[in-house]
Amino acid sequence: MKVIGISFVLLLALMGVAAALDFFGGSPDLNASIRNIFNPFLVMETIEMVIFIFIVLCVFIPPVRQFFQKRNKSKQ
Amino acid sequence: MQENKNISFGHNEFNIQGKVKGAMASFFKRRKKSIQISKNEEPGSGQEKKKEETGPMQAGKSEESSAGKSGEASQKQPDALYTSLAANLDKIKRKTGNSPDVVIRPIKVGGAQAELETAVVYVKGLVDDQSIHDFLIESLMNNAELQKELSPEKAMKTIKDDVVAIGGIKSVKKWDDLFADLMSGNALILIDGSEEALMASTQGGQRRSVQEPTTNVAIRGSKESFTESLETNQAMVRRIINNPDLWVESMNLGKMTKTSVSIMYINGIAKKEIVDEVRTRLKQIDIDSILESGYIEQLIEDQTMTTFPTVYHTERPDAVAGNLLEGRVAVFVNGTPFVLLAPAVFIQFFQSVEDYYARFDISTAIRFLRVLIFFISLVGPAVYIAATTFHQEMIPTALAIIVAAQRESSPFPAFVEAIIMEVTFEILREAGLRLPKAIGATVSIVGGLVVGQAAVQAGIVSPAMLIVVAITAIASFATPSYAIAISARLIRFLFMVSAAMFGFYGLILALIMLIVHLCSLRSFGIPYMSPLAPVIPSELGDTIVRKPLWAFGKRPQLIAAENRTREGKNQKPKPPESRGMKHYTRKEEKDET
Amino acid sequence: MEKARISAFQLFILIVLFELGSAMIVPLAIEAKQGAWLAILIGAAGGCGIFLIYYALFRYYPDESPVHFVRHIIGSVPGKIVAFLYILYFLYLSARVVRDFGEMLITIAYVETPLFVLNLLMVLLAVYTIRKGIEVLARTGELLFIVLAFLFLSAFLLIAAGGTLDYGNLKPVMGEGLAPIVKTAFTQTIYFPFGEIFAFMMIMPYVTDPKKVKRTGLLAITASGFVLASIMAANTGVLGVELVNRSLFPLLATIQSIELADFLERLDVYFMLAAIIGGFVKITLFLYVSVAAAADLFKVKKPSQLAYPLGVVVLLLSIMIAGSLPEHIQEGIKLVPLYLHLPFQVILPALVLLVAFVRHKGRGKEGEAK
Repeated sequence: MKVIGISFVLLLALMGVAAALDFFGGSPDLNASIRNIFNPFLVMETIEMVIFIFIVLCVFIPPVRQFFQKRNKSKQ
Repeated sequence: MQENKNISFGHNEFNIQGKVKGAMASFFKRRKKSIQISKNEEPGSGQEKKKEETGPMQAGKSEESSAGKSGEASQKQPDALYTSLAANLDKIKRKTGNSPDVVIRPIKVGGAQAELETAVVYVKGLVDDQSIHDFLIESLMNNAELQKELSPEKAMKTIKDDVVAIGGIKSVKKWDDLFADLMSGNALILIDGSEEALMASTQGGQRRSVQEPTTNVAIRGSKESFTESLETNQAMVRRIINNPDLWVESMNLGKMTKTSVSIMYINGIAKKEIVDEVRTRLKQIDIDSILESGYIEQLIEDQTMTTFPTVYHTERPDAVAGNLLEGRVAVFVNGTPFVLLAPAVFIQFFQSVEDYYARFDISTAIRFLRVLIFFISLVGPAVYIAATTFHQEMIPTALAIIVAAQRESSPFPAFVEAIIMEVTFEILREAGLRLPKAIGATVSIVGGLVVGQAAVQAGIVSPAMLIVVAITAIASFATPSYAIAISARLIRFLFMVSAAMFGFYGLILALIMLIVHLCSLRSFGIPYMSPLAPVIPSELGDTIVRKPLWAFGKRPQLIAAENRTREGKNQKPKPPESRGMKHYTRKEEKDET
Repeated sequence: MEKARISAFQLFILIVLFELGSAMIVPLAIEAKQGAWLAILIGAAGGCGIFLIYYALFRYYPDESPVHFVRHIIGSVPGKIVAFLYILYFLYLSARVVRDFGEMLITIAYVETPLFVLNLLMVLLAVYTIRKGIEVLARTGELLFIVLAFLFLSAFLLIAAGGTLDYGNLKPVMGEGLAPIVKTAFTQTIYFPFGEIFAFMMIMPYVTDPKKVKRTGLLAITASGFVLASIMAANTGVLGVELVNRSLFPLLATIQSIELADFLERLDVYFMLAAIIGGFVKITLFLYVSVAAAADLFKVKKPSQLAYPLGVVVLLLSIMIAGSLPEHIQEGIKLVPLYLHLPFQVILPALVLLVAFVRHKGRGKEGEAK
């Protein structure tokens, strides 16, 4: 769980960096820069989207498994 | 003679049954273990199951002990032999299930007045009949000393010291040792009234004789190959290295089969840590049967999730000797001509003993060829697929036109074509391998001519594809080690898939992944890719290139221990300074120094 | 930190592969025109200079990762903030390199393949390698180095033998004086690629013999400087300044110009192999450094657990980073050196070194002995 938290915080911060660079790079306003960040995901094809979701879901496998293992242990 | 044949057949059958049972038992055991690990909430049941599994042995023991106690009150140890001959023989009969090949031959000694019952017990077929008859039974019957009046102890001593004309003789007091020896082909002498039995080493029987190697064939070099007999194999290595520092340790592995396994190394050259590691890993093996050295190999590997062999195996005594001299440890297993060598490094699988017998320039060229061959057998079809489907522009124009013209008539994409041909080829190879030789030739004709030729003429596959597959196939045959060739065979399909999906990008990524994987492997703690990565400059001379024999200074530093000097300095042969008589003076000089 | 050890030679190879990584495929320092190679060499000299800053920091704490010792130097909370910023910086750079390679692949061969998928494969390979640890990466580097060296030597031979090299294209070296060359060196080449060696701060503690780090680092920077300079010189010599300036990947064009014996032509595979090897090492090292640093900072027991999630972060970022290739390149040339490289590679380390220097001097010999 901790690992996912760390990754999420880092991802958010990095999106901020990307938006900021976009803004400094001559984007009209901050809103547009933020929209620019999400643009690539909006134009994905179906198959790409499936792979994308699969890859992201794979991140959650180890923590979930760990969680269940812990629960099993505590039950004992 | 006929009898012998029958016995050997029976033996075989027994072996086969044992194999099936062994495989099943090990399968179940593995499953149980995994259950035990995954379901931690019920450790009790898992333990119980395991106990049941190991049951027969322990049950046997407890039965013995109870029998011992009821039979003889004076017994101190539960495992010890009885004093009465009849009780002992009865026990042997019961334990072996009255099997007819366990021969019990009662002999009376001690003259007519004070008869002393003795018996000789052995297993037919496992023993050398001649030594049983000539040196054991006949001596026992005709020896003058034994015709006098004797106490059991005295008789025992006489038999041991004067009567039995056989090299190895020892006394046994425990049932476990007794049965282990009896079943490995020793003859047992029991005397009424003695708590000891004598064990004469009479191992023999029919074995395959020493023949030429069938797998690691070399043009130059010894024509001997190992046999199925552990002792013969060890002796063959000892005949090459006549040195007391060649040490052997033996043990019995496999709870049911009690296979003798021994490790051999040269004291002072082999690193102590590696020998210890091999020993501990072997001792940790807890399995019902060891039927081939492959069992051991799979149980002592560093990593099992890999297609690459991390233990080397060979059936050539000179290869074993050479590797022992580099500091490796050999593991001999009774019943197989394949001897294991550890630790193994990747580059070792591209070397053959012949490289050291031929001159260095030739060996170097051949080693380069072998690496190229391995590479071709890995990526051959993958490169074809990538080039024809993704990167047509990279093929030289003239060639591209020819290939394109051929591909025009082919109904399948290159990947499907390649998969069809590769799978066909694998089927042919497997069929040719398992069939008797006479039919094998037919298969290769049917496969090569009919399938290949007809497939092209019918337009199902393009001729270029067939050429690629054929070259790949020949390349995989030319790899010196079968173990590494077969892993290349498997990985080839992965490469084909990645090339079909992403062209050269996929192929290169797959290659890098292969390199990462190879670099992550270790064999008994030694990096698998050493001395290439991590690079050890002084040892690069015996990898893909082979430096001249006179320049081999040291043994490999990761493997060998303190005695690393291989040869003296100034080993480079020189011509005499001038023609004629100087020739002889040079020899004299050398003698002086 | 893992319990791993790499040799000084492995460090050398990793630095060289890392520096060549993406720098060899782009038109590096082309603002300096024919003097590009000179600008690269000056950049390498500058890179040696800032490497000495990092080395001085490393000498204070030779066994600790920077994430730890920065806290000793500037205090716990500011230290953590700085470490966090650096993790962001490395992840961002990693994503930039991934994007570079994805765009390169699309441009040269994979017009129809989605960027996302191409990047995904690269990131997955990097994650796989990181999970195996730094030792495996170092050993892999040794083998890949052999491949790359073979490619370079044979490519140079082929270019020389092919007769496409025109020395006239290399003149005049200083047509507009030294000023533009020096300016290019100080605005570009010092930071990219040479300043990026900062990532090796996380790897230096693994080296078996810390005394050799200085020599190895300087040697590696110099060597890669010379290789990059000769690549740029070959590009300019074969294509001419105008063409180099206009093409996105001049090395590809140079290699494509090789034509020998009607058979050795269109050696794009050469370029792809070299580029992918370089890109792989660079991406993996950046990602490894961020994983190791994040594991240190957030006290994750098994760093390998972080490899995949952070890999996915890099993957996502690599496609969010810019809308199009021109935008991506524009950001890379104009914004990143100014807003990211300069503060993170030079200003912050120099400040930290200054504080460390003052503190250790204050503490006297006791501190230095540590």
